[in-house]
Amino acid sequence: MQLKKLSKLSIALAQASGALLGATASTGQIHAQEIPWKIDSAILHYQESGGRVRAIEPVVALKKDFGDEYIFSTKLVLNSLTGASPNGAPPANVAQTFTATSGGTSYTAAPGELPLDNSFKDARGALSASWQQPIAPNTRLNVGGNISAELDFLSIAGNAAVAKDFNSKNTTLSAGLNLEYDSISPIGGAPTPFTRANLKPISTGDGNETTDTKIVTDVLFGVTQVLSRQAIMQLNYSLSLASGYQTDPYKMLTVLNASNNNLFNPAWYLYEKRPDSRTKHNVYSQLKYHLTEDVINLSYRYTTDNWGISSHTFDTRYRFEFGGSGVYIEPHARWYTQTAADFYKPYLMQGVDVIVGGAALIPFATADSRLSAFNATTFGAKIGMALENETEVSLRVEQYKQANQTINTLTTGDLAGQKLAPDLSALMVQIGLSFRW
Amino acid sequence: MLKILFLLFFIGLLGGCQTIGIKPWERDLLAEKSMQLDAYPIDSALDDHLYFSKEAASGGRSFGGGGCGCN
Repeated sequence: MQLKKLSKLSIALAQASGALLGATASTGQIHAQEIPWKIDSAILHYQESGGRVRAIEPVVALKKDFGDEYIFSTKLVLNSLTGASPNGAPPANVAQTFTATSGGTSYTAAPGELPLDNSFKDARGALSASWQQPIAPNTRLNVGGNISAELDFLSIAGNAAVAKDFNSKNTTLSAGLNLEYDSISPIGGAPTPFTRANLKPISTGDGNETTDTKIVTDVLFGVTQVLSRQAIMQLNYSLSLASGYQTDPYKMLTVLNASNNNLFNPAWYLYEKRPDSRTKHNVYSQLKYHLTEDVINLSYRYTTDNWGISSHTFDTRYRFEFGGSGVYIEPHARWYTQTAADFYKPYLMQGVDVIVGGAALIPFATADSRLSAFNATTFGAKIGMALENETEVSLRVEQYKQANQTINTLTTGDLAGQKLAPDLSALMVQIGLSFRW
Repeated sequence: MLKILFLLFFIGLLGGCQTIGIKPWERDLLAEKSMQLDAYPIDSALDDHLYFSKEAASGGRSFGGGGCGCN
């Protein structure tokens, strides 16, 4: 059954690519002069407060419309990351010393200070391309791929999606499939879970790090419906299956003894471990409403997965148009909330969760605050100006804040009174330029 | 089984949609750039990548924002 489907898919892809070559040769040239390239570019500056992560991210996207729904798009994203990243251990009532991820140095967090790995530095480049074309009346096929590389990470993905219009193009159904292969080569090698982080040998940086892999399969079904002259909505369901290495090789957990103290000789910090498989379900809905001048954009997303995490996201945007000047201002507000993963633990207990230097008594554990319970908000605005020939300049400023919901029940020991998982505050500034070439 | 249920769900939606909609000459507002569902794909992609690296949930609008080790 699966093989039959696969062979059908490969025939469809072969036909599509054949048509692609023929079409660009014949009709493509007729329209080439009529529709110039569309170029979208932007640069994003992202800065977390407290000396944490800083990212600079330039993007350029090119799109060529050959007419008759034959469209080629490509995009290049670069990303430079510097700063400090939380290592998973909460602040303590005593000073804490750790070995840095890279460089063979150590760093110390003062009492009450969040332990941050200051050696955090990364660069990322991502290139994607896609091709869209009609394959039957009112039916479009889109095939694409992308490759993304970091110092310790490589991702290769391919996708295909079909969209079909019904009811005088008032309804569109779509279905898509994305396959992603990820390869992770942690600096210093992937650590053995539940072993002491501070006893890990210093990386020699000889490039002989072990590599782990992960495969992600996504399927997406969507319906888009025109509701009236002023309103359009979308409803999507997507399923994501991830299989393979999903542990964060740089994150650790503090271990407390029966007196709620970490025994610092040497300190008890153990590497985390996450399950090898994760299944996620997403439902997404969006509504756009045109008030004949201004535009309202609302969306809601619900997600749930077999790690025990569920989330709600509400997103609202209101675009004010200033007459026929081409100037618009779009305030934006986003609310997000998530529950913690079943295996999220802000710290481990000796003899209950693990026996340090011996066996782990639980199968999985992470202290990564991204898998803990928190609420987040984004508030910001975008101002843009549309000029002649589809030229548009824009500036977007947004503030993102996470408020962690992890409760500290400890009344004695090294972590008593401390915030077990950090909050986050970040400022994003983005400048954009679009034009025809 | 799940696939069949989804198919039935979408066919059901389709039936309900036949009475909703507009005529081709009423598409003036929907044709504007600001009314495209993903009018600013670069903004969406940058946001998706940021939230993917800071939150446990991802995707929904399109395929999940993969391709990131994300510290």
